[in-house]
Amino acid sequence: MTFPMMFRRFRLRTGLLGVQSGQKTLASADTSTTVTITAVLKEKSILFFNYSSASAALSANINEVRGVLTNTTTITFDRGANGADITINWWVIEFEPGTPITIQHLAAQATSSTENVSISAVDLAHTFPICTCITSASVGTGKATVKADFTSTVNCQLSFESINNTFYGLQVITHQDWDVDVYTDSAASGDTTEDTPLSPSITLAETMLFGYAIFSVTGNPTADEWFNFGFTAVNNIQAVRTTSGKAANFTYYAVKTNGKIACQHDVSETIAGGNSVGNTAFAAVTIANTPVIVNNMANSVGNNSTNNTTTGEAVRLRSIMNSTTNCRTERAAADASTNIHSLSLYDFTNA
Amino acid sequence: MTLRDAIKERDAQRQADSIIQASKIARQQKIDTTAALLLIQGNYPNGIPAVLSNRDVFIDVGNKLETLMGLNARLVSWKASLTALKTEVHDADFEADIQTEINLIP
Repeated sequence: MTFPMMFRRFRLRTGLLGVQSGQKTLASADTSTTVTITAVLKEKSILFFNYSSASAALSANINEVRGVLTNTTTITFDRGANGADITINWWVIEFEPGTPITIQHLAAQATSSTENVSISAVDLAHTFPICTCITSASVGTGKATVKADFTSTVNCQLSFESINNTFYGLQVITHQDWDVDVYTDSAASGDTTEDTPLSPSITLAETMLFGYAIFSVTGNPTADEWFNFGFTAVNNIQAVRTTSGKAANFTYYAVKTNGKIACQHDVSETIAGGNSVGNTAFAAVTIANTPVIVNNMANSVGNNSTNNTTTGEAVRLRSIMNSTTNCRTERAAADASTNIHSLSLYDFTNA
Repeated sequence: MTLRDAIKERDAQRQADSIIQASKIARQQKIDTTAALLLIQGNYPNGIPAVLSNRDVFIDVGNKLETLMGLNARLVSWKASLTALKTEVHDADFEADIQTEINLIP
């Protein structure tokens, strides 16, 4: 390393610059809403969100939400059709300009069920995607599930079960100090669990998980056919659902942060039948800097409920830390079904 | 100039440009937020009465102060970054633009 490069490294600030967060309602009459935030550098900022829906129907167009950091001061949340209140928890994690992280924000309409999205060249060993999508399709066709795979250093391939006015929001995140392992797997129609072995093993306390799953056959799944997934051991990711159903394909990104992000995972939390709230105890975190990730299908917000009907409000979850050690997970309404979900906390304080 | 130097220079220019654009917006947000706080102050020349009916006013003031804190933190950081990047863009006009923005950041 030359002296000027060393000097530059020490002058540019690195690490976490700040976290903005909040809760936003996408009103029943609306298909989109915006949140104004304090100006950020988009290429240094990551958007996370999770949400619950008050819809009694499972309809993808009403219930699935896309989130996009549309410009320096605006987050846009939208969906394919109006019809019920959606309550969204959101976080924008912003890094100092000198941090070796770059986030590409891309949003467009998908014209193919295998959509190739051109990206600026990335080092795949340090890169992972965060993707959400929406559709105009109601129950039965073109559900808003998506799987994201890099097919080259300049292409991210998005796979949809089918498309029907499908729009995606994609963040491509490259951090030179984080190492990314990619795993693909599939579950057969008769499977209720699918284990994906990890090699090499990971350190749970410093590894983030971002996963994608789509059904490999079209049709309208009941709520208990949906998978959630998470780390069940240092060498395993497990996808689980209550009832065997449609075959599914998975892609997982194990993001090893090498001690920078404090990660916690819980794969078997529940909201009991008849309730709308569940609480999960975690080790203490800095609340303001800790987004909660719900590791499920359908824009990462679904569950493997015991409910086999098509009830949107029973299966979509929003989660947030309401104390340093407690994660509160809510669905919009109580339901007779038990809701089983997988949560991950990523504390960015020392990023 | 080597290819590596050219890439470094391009990256520095791209990064500086991005920060300048964000900084301009953040400075305007700071002006707007400060103006909104002054307006509230003007509406309550004797202070905001601590009564329940003013709950939303206190929340609004708190949110705006939080916004100002966030903006200040970002502007300080971006000013430092622009200062560091200024010598790496190797373009006199660009350096002048950067210096202009640095001077405008409080």
